[in-house]
Amino acid sequence: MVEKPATFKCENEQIIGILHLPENQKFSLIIIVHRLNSNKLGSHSFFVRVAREFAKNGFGVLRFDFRGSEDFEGNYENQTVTSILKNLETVISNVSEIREIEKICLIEHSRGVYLSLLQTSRDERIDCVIVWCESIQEKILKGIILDEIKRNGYAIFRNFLITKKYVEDYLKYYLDFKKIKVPLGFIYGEFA
Amino acid sequence: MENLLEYPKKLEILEDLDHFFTKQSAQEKVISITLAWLKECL
Repeated sequence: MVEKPATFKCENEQIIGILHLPENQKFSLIIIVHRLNSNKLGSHSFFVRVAREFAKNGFGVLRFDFRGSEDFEGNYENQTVTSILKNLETVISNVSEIREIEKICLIEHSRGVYLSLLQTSRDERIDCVIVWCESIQEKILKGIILDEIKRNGYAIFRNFLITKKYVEDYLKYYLDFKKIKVPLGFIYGEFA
Repeated sequence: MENLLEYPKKLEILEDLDHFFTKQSAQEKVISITLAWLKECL
């Protein structure tokens, strides 16, 4: 197995990721979509463990940082659903050019859940989606976070800033989930 | 695809397990179930 850095350019900002390659020549690629207050490592390097385990089983894995997270060049304050989808689209377009990759699967963690679903609803290059989710989006929709944003112009979730701009942008996309046609799996809980 | 629909039953068990086992045990379960899905879907 080989692990190597991968970089992509998105709107003049650099996306940095790590590519885990299996020993087999042809393989399916799993793209890990990290959550809001996380990065390509995941909590306690969970994504590294996951990627190595999957690579041992013949899958390629790409884990990368979204705008405003860890090694990404841009500022977190400019991060929105639209900007994150743009990052994801850029990554998918780049890896789709790699001839060894036969299929693509997105694995989302928490917020990523909804972003991957949105991307899958409009991108035929994605062959399946698996979601590991917590409940921040439900808190947004149930109004817990919206009430706080109305009062203060922002909300704090687990010591992390949720901007009004982020939530308003997110709500625009919610109904697109119904368009998904590929296999979709959910694992719900607090494990990472 | 039909087989995937059976997994939610296992997920209910996972949720119960979380009360009794460590986060690391739950992670192992998540990895193994995800791998099973990937092998079936891709």
